[in-house]
Order: sequence, then structure tokens, then C-alpha cells
Amino acid sequence: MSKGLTIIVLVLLSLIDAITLAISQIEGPFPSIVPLGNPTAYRSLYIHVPISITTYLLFTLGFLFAIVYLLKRESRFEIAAHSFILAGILMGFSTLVTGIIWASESWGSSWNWDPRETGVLFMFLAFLVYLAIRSSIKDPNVRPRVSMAFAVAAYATIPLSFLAPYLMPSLHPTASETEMFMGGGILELFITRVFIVAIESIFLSYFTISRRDKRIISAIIPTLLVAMILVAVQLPPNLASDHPNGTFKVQVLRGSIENDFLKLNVRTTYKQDYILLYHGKPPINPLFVTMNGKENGKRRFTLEKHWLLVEGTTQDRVIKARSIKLISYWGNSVNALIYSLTLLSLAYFLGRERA
Amino acid sequence: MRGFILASSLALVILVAGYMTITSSSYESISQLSRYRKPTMVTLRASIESTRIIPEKNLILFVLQGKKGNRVYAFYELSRFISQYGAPPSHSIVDQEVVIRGTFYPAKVGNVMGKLEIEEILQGCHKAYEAPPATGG
Repeated sequence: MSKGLTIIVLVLLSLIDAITLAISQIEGPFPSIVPLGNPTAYRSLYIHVPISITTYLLFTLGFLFAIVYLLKRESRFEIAAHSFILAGILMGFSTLVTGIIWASESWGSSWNWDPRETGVLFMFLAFLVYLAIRSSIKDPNVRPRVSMAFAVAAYATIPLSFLAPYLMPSLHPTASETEMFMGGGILELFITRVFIVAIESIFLSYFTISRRDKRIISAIIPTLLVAMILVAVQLPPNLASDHPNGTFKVQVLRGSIENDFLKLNVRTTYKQDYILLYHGKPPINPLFVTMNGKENGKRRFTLEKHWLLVEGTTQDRVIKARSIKLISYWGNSVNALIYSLTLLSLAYFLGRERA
Repeated sequence: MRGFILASSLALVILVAGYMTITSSSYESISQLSRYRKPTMVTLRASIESTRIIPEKNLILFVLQGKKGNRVYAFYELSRFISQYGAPPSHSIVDQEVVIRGTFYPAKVGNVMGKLEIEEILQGCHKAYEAPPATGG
């Protein structure tokens, strides 16, 4: 494939990535009822999980090329293995950071020594040791053999971290535990995200090592641009507090529909409780759900735990709202930015390695 | 061939070390707390049998129950809970099964294993995926 075509393919992949990233973070479905935190934090599902699956894929490619190198002893396989492992390390770091940001909201603590968390950290450290080994051996004949042997060995951490939630109790769900939710119409968007993140990262890694070209970095611009717009739009409402000119940031405690009015018990950022009345289109769909699973048949109000940006007037602890808008969890846009910066650093570092 | 022998030996070492690391980071059950003789930091997975609010002491008491009927009295600061969850504990806020990190003070009396001062209430996301999806913005 020519350099020009490579750039075009990468720009196209980045455009699809940017569009699906924007859709997932603006319109992406999330669980209607969550145990803890802002339910929109679960939109990190479309960033964190594809990154982590891609990390496994990149390490798998590195592992396969390392085996081929050990069999054939041709330096091109060693270069390919090293590049995919380097890309895996960058994506692995991104997996850890995006997971930490999501966990701080949805699990109640940033780092929990959860078996999968520990497994991914162990995997990341094992491949950092690979880097240390590779850079510490100066002999060009010994270096590839030892480092590739270690790369093959370090791959043992992949099944360990992947299987951790299946082997012992974990805060991470297993695939079967998410089946019911995935069946609710989100599978297409989720699969598309996984597919595009994986293809883009692998393609980027492969062509950065095979054709060093500064324009490869510029191909990531669409994804970076969307991530920056998401940060600019979604971060400020998270930082806002109540404003005297009639803008309120409130968290929904309970709610109901009374005489066509949405009646919410809300709490402001200053911990003051209000009744919020709103006549208009609810900011969430559906407004009530019947729980699946263990709580079969129980009807729940889906605005609970959400943060809202409200415009309206107050009187006697009642807010009469003119407009209400869901506040998306700040970590989602930051995670999108981390992801796009990871792609950038992947192109940059792999280009430098080859140089 | 020597490369593969080296790789296989190292893989075995990494596999064992990794398995030990992951299993050591798993959560304890209430019955496992009986091995402690002095105050110890634990991460516990248990079911909430009942909840009591003690406003005068700014505390919430969670009575945690293990599978064999053993219990632990776990305490959490009420004001901190409200600032995190927006309201005092109720069924819709806290899962029936929780993972809790804190300091366990062993004091076995009958089937009560002791007291736990909670530092963090962690919640798995499994239950979220039992709910149908919603959209909004």
C-alpha cells in the first residue's frame, strides 16, 4: 500500500472513530438504574472497554510475531513484535487510566485492587520489564533473542488478567452478566466502537513501523478534535455550581409524574433540598423502567442519581424549571481525550522507534 | 529451541506470580475474618442484613451477614454517605451485596465476629447491567 493510500485509510478510520465516539458520548445508551454515581459514567463503556480489548489484541500480535522471530530469527519479525508490544503498553496505560476515572464514579473509589485491575496492572508491569530488559542488553545478537523470549513469557499475564473476574469475585462484570443489557439495543454501537478502535490502533501501529511518515500523526486529528469538543462541552457543566441568575446544578434524589408535571426531589451543590417542577420533554428516555434480573417487575424512576443543569425560578424551596438538561459525567470526555492522545503518542513513539 | 525453553520457564514463573497476585487481591468473606486476632485492614464482600441510622452519632450501622450466619457490625459516617449518595441509605441506593474496605476489630461474641470501621463502600457494576438501557443528554 502506498504512503498516500495509507494516510487516506488512516484518515477514514479516524473519521469513523471520531463520529462513533461523538455518538457514543452524546447519544450512547447507558444503564437506566445504577448502584452508584452518575449513570452517564457508564458511557465510558464505549471508550474503556474497546481500549482494553485492543490492548489484548496488540499484545497478542506482539506475542505471535515474537514466536515467529524465535522460529525464524529474522529481524523484521522482531521489529514488528516490539512495535505491537510498545503499542500495547501505551494502550495498556490508557486502559488503566480510563478505568481509574470510570471507577472513581461508578465503584466509589479510583483504585480497588479488584482482581481484573490487579491483573491488568501486573500485565502492564510485566511488559515494562520487557522494555527494561530490551534496553539494558547492548549486544545486538543477544538482545532480540532474550527480549523476544521474555515477550512470549510476559504474554502469560494476558489470560490471567482476562480471566480474573471468572476465577474470583470481582467488581468487573463477566460477559454473561452484561448480556441482558447488551441485548437492549446497544450491541451495535458497542461492537462498532470495539472494532474501529482495534482496527485503527493495529493499522496505525503497523503502518507507523513500516512507513515512517509525519503525516500519519495528522491522520489522528478527527478523533482528537471530537475529544477536545467533548471536553469543551461536557466538562464546564460538571464544574458549575448554582448561579444567582437562575441556573441550578442539582442531583435527583427521587421523582414522579404528577398532573403532567415532572416532580423531582433534588439537592443542589450546596446540599440544599428543593422540589423541582417541570412541564416539558423529560431529558431521559425512558423515564420509568421495569427492572430485569433479580428485581423482576419492580418499576424504577430513571432520573435518580443524575445531575441536571436547570434553568428556572425558585420560590419557597420549589424550583419551577424552564429547561432541564442531563449533565454527562466529566470523566467520559476526559477519557475520550486520553484515548485520542494515546493514539497520537502511539504514532509518535512508534515513528521514533523506527527512526 | 533455547529461546522457547527460556520463554516457557519464564512464562511459568510469571503465571504463578500473577495468579498469586490476583488471588491475594480478591475479597474476603465474613467467615474468613475469624483468623484475625488484632485490628486489620480488610476488603470484605458481604450481604447487608439490615441498616440503622444513628443520627446523634452521625453514623450508619450496617449489619453484614455471611453465608454461615456470622455477622459483622459495620459503621460508616452518615454525613459522608449523604454527600456521596445524596440521601441516607435505602434499598435503591445501596446494593444488598456490597464490597467494603475498612478496619476490622475482632471481638467475637456468639455469631458476631466484630466491628468494622468502613473507609470505602465499593459497588460492583453487575447490577447496572440488569437494568434496561436509557438514553438522554
